[in-house]
Amino acid sequence: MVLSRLVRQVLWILAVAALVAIFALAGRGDSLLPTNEERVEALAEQFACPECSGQSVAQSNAAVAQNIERAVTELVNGGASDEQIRARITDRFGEQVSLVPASSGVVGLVWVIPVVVGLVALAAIAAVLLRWRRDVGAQGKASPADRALVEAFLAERIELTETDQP
Amino acid sequence: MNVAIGTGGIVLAFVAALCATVTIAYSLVRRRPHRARLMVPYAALVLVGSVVAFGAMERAFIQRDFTIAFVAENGSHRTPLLFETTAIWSGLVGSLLLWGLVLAGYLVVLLWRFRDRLSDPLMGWAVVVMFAVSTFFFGLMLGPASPFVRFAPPLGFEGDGPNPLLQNHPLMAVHPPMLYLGYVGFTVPFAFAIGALITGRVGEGWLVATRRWTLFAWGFLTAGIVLGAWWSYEVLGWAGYWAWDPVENASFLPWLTGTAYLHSVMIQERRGMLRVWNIALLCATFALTILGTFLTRSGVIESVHAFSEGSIGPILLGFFAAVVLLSVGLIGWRGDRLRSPGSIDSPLSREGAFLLNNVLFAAFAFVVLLGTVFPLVVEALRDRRVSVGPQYFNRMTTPIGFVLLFLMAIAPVLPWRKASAELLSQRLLWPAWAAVAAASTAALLGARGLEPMLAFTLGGFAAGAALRQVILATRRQGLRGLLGRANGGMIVHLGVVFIAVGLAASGSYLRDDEFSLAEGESASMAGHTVTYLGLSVVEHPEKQSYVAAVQVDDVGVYRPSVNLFRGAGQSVGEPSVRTSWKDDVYLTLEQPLPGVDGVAVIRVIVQPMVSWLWVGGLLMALGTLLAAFPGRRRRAVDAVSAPIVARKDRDRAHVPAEVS
Amino acid sequence: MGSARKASLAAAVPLVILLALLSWKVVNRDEVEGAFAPSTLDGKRAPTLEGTTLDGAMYSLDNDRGSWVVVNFFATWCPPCVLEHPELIKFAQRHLATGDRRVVSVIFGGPQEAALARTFFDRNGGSWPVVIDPTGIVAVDYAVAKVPESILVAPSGFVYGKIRGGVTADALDAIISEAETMTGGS
Repeated sequence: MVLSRLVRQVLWILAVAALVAIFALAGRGDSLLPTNEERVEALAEQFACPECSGQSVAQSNAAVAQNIERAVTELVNGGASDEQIRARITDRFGEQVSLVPASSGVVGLVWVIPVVVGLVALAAIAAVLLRWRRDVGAQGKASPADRALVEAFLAERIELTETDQP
Repeated sequence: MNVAIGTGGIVLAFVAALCATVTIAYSLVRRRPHRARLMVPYAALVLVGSVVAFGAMERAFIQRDFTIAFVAENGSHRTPLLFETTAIWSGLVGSLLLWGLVLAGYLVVLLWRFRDRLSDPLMGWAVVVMFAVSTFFFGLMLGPASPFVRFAPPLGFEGDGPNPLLQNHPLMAVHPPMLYLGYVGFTVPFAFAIGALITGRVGEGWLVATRRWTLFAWGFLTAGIVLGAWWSYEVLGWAGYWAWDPVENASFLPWLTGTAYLHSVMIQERRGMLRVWNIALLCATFALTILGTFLTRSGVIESVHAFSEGSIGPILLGFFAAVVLLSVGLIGWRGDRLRSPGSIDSPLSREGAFLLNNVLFAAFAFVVLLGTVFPLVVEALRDRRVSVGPQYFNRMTTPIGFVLLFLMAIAPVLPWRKASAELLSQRLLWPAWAAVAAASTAALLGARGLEPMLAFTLGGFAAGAALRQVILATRRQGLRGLLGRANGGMIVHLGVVFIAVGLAASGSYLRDDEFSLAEGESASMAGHTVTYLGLSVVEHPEKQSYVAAVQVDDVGVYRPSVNLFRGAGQSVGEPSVRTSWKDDVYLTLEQPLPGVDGVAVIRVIVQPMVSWLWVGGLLMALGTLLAAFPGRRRRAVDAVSAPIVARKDRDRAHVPAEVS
Repeated sequence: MGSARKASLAAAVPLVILLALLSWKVVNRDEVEGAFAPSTLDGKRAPTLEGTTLDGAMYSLDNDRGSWVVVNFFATWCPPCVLEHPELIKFAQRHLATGDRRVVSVIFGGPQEAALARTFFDRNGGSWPVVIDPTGIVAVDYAVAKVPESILVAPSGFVYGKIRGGVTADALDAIISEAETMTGGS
């Protein structure tokens, strides 16, 4: 698989172009307004079935869950907005019936904390890498004698065609 | 009779484990050399005790000995033998018996494996930790969670049998033991980590010994998780395999930290770095198994498969606290010896990729942990009941998953130390074309939407990189090229790609509908035709089954059913699935059952590529096995890095101290 | 050496906080078990309950204002509902003459449910109105989580409380009498 540099570059450009084309074509879903049926489906997935801990209304076969789904269908067809329906159902069954945590207030922290922690972690890693780089600069370079020693070692057994075998 | 035998077994195991912990620790502190001779008999006694206790419970189940409360609750005369024997892990105390048995088994295998090195203090302390953990678990079984509580069955007592959901599928016989083999297996690396910290020998020697144990535990846990997903898919009737349920999360958390460790340990082996991090990961993995057990077994969290028995909650929590404080204290104490001697030259290198991999897995674990305990925290602080559902976990972890997939494509081709753009463009060209192939195939088959398309493309990319590595290795060494950590690891990666693609396809293109069908009537959906042929009633000793016959396409007749279990009076649906590599047709018979008019309501769920998940799980298990075999031995001076360009070289070569 | 210590501290602090919270939680867990459980409806005006009954008549909860009403959600296929049915009959008959305590049942679910309920009442008796809730909205407004559930509506039209699971005639009377003495006394 030894390709000339030029061929390789061309192949790369082709690959990237193909991917861009494919994503332009298929990368977007049908971004039309959701149908009532899709809205019901989406809403049903956001509520926990009150009878069966763990499953959503959409998944559950329990009579109560199916009833909630029916009521949601009715409300959607009656012109209620998603927000109104959410409010009505959580008002009745309590906040814990909503599977999607609120994005504001104390509950909103569940969304915020991971992002903050993730950013801090990345910053810490970057700082460590930078410090290492600085430390490397501070220490002395390998002397020609070191280098010769390594060369001699390697010369005995070198076949560096594919060195990615870890 | 069974009560006496079982309790005797537990007492034996507990006393032996306690004596072993005390005497071996004492001899280690006093530097008495003869402790090695003590370990083996003590371990044998613990194993004998746990086998006797487990065996007594199994015997009680097979005999339907209802004088034991646990058997009375979970067994019945009607339950078939298979599910009567698996009923032992359908409740808390029986699961503890299994836990004890597996732990004792690991202890004995550990001693046998290292029989030549038992006098080594590091080994000694590791064994002490194993015994101490055993003491804890057998102590639990002696006191607050005793499996052999007596019960006086009233005349004609029949027993309810296990929860109907747990006697529906033979996977029940495999999934829990696998999970426990993984879960409990993480005790061994934890024990070594503590041993290394106590003796201060935190160099590389103990790592080599530990890595393979971690790998096995990880492999079992992987298999256990995938089998659990398969079980819920086949049994629960909503065609789901993963719901981010607290119990699932509890098994997933140690898997995440364990995966992080399996990658980062390679940096330590190769470069001697990240010692604190690796030890912390091992301790965290073990601590998370205990925390998970606490969360799901103490009743603080509601879940479909949590069996809540409140009294052991505080004890498990105390044990978790002890584990955390011991680990943190020891790491703090040995901090000076844990200083890493090396550093990373370039972020664009194998070690840089592993580093990023670890950040991502840690973030992943953090999100899962946070989402799992968040409702508890809010309730404790604010007295508000909230839920954190699958949407949260999906939205937060999907981006992490994409970056991990991308990394899986890049990392395997990266050399250690430093990579050049030239090298990457050479090695990633074919994987990139694999990505193009995957993306165009998916688009041609009708896939749309950013997220699934991204998953298919990155999946193709990662699969290309993994295949490239496997092909190169087998070309060089024949079939032996499949062995060893790196190459077995690539098979694991392929399995992960299968699972990622399966998740994306089945999650994004699910179709779900219900049809009311009279006999002989058909309905069409997503390119499939289902025809309702009729209903039959089948009598079993433990249940009455209403079985609908449904013809799917021209493939065959499938039989979803509703089972009325006589014991609990519960009715449980049993789905029937037509599986193919392309898509699954999932059928359930809805209630109420067909009445006089003979119209049955049949729910049909069509999901593409679900079977890829199971294939992926199989590949991961296979890859783990291959990775556990020693691959090509490398001598310490073998060139493993990119050719050295004119650049300072200040890295000390790390010679593995011992090769196990 | 500092960094390892710092890192272990950083890991320990949040974990200890988490532990403290969790242990607090374990100690203070008080699950409300038993029949008479608080609900989000308590003390609020009873949600609208209007609809066609099994007999084809129109029913509205507002017309029962002035009486205690047991709004009973049930399904024919649920064993505890079948068990509680005779108790409801007993309760209804006890107060038939005075009319100060009434029962109204609600069924929800598909059209099959109405047919099933009709046969059920023909077979097992019971002559109080059975309202059909075809859209399920009534059941949602009354936050029905699992059948059977009975909501006690006071003569004022406000919700007094909810009973999850089956009821008995005596328990219903005891609860209502207690409520009456409480309000009568204050």
